[in-house]
Amino acid sequence: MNEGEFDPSGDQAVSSELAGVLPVDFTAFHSQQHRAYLRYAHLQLGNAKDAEEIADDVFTFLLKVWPQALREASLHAFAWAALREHVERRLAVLERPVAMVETAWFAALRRSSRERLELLESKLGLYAAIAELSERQYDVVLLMFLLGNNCDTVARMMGIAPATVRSHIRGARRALSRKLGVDWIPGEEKDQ
Amino acid sequence: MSDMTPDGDVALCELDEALKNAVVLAEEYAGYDEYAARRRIARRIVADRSRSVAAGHGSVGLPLPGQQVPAAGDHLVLDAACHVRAARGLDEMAWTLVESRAFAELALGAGTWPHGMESALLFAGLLHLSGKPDGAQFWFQYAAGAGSRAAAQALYLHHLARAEVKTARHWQDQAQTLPPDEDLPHLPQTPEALEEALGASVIWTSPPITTQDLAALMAPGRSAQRPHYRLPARLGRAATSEREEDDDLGEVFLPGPQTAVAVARYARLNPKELTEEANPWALEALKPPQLTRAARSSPEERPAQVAMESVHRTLRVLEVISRYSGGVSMTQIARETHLPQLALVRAMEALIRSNLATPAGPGAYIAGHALLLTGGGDGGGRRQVGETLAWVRDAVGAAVYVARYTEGEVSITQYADSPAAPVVEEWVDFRAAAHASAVGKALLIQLDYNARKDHLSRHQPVRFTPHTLTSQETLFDQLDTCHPNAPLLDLQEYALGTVCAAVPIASGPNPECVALSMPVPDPRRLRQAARILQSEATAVLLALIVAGSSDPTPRRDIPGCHDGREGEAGTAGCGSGALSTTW
Repeated sequence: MNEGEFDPSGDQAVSSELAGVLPVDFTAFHSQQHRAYLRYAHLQLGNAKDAEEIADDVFTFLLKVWPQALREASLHAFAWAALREHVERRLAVLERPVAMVETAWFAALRRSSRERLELLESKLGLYAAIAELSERQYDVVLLMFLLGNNCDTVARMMGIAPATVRSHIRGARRALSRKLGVDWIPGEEKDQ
Repeated sequence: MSDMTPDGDVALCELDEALKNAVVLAEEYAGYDEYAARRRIARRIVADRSRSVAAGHGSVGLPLPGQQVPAAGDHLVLDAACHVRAARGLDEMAWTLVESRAFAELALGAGTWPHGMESALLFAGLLHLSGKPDGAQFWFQYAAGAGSRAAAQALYLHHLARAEVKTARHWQDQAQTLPPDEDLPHLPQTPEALEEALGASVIWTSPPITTQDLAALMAPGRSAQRPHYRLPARLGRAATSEREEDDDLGEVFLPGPQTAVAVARYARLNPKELTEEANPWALEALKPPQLTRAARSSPEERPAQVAMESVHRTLRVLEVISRYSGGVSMTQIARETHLPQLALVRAMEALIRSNLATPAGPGAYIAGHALLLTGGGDGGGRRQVGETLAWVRDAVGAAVYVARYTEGEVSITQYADSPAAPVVEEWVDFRAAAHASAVGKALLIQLDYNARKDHLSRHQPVRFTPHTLTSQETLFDQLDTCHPNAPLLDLQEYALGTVCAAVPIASGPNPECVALSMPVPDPRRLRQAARILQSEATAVLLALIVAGSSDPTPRRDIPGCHDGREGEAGTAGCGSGALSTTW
């Protein structure tokens, strides 16, 4: 950390104490993963406030158990499970279902208001179909397509083999085409 | 598959297009202040530690910069996480399965391994403990599909350990519908109220709940420190050695024969017991001496026949391999030969040793170059035997020989020596020294009483050294009381300063043997080398059998002249130390 990073209101003593609390490898891990975790949590919970709180909670948990986390077979898989659990907990406390479909759709709507409405409607169908995938396929599809990561990054983030990610994508594509094939794809989209 | 239909193709194209455009929240956290986030996190930790110090938990104050001092209650935080508790539960369960000797025996049982429910469960446990949770999941599912309730429980824990709650609950429901497994070791109870943490409170809300509160979440008496189950490296390596990538299944690990051997060793099971193979040595040793002698008089019961059994198994494996020009997997070979896995491993080892099979990529085998050589006819098989002998020579560290009893005479048909492993000097014709040489004894032992008498009437036992047996009775007695499968020895009986050992084998109708000689009368070294010779005899026998299909019966040479096709110096005493292989 350099001087510029510190909270101007915090005094130097507190800052150096904080630096002692943050191991270098933790700082690196946080720096590398926090945006993806925020976006994932945002999609699940539907708003930035909850997402930021969840991200803080997850990384606080990880920092608290950091030495043990480093001893896990896969730190990334462990952290990913922590993220999932925190999201699950928050949803349970809020008594809310996963907000992905609406969140994603509204985000898509905001981003591409110029797109034709039927295209957006088809997107709603796609997001809804994704929401029905099994949890592992759902995570892989979310990380890969909604959050725009490549296969190797997804594999690393979830702590699984790239071949396994590819197999989940394959399975997810089949499931999605089955779900969408009937009422969506052969429909109005076909002759554009 | 559904994506094979034309409609499906169109659908998939559109789907891929739609997925490509599905990115959302791309810029949402572009300006997020990660430094501020880390400061918030660090402050929480500091605050929590000072609270825990104030509450008298732990004597450690704030850590110095660069130091990591975990607060006393950190493990409680860990324990309160549902995924951690589930992972720990699965660790314990997998460990119990892997540690149980009885279960290993059950899982390795012929007819079960590697496709039985128990084998799948055990293998899944191994993979879990080797840090391959996805590989473990596949085999847990396999076992659950075969009706294992324990596997369904394992899957509940597995998915909970990844906080995949919906999938976890599915398996929990499955487990409730399945009947309890039989013959499993006593598995640890799935922790009660495992999911409580999910519904209860958020640990790091502001203010964060303290470690005291967390302590209340914990069942009393449970050890707070997560135990670390460490699989022996060899076992872990074996379990993860055969890996395949499948389009639909992803990374899959297969329970190869190495796994079976490693599991058997770890469980301290004798791999031999698992192959349904009677231990011939033990069986023979249990017989009263008269019976042994009587058994010997009939040719079918000779020790060489015992080795033949494993050779026949090996040939069956070879047959399958040579049928698949593009390579064949162990699983396929097992299916076609119906051989128990451990017998299969040994057969494969022997085939690879004698260049009759070669690994081609992970888990696949093709016919080795020795098979192609013998197909060529002219001397290829002989060269192949020579290569195998050279291998055996290096393994035992002594000159090695193959001898055959043809037309009433002892004949050395091939040998392999080296400067460090010189051949024995033939100071007396080997044909006249059957009673004094290991080679001679290993051939005589395969003859019946009359043929032995006939031989000795033509070659009167002569005393070459003070150790030579010249009495026919003593010699026959030595042959008859020798343990079946134990090598026959020459302890300076032919020449002072030289000791030999020979193992009877037979690739055809004539008695044969493979032998070694050492110019050092060290009984300990001899026994050690003889043991190795014993275990490699199968490879030599295999090479001889395969070579035999293209080789004529060797000439009845002056013994020791070794059928010198390349005109190598002739006698056993040739001293042409530069030879590495005769052929």
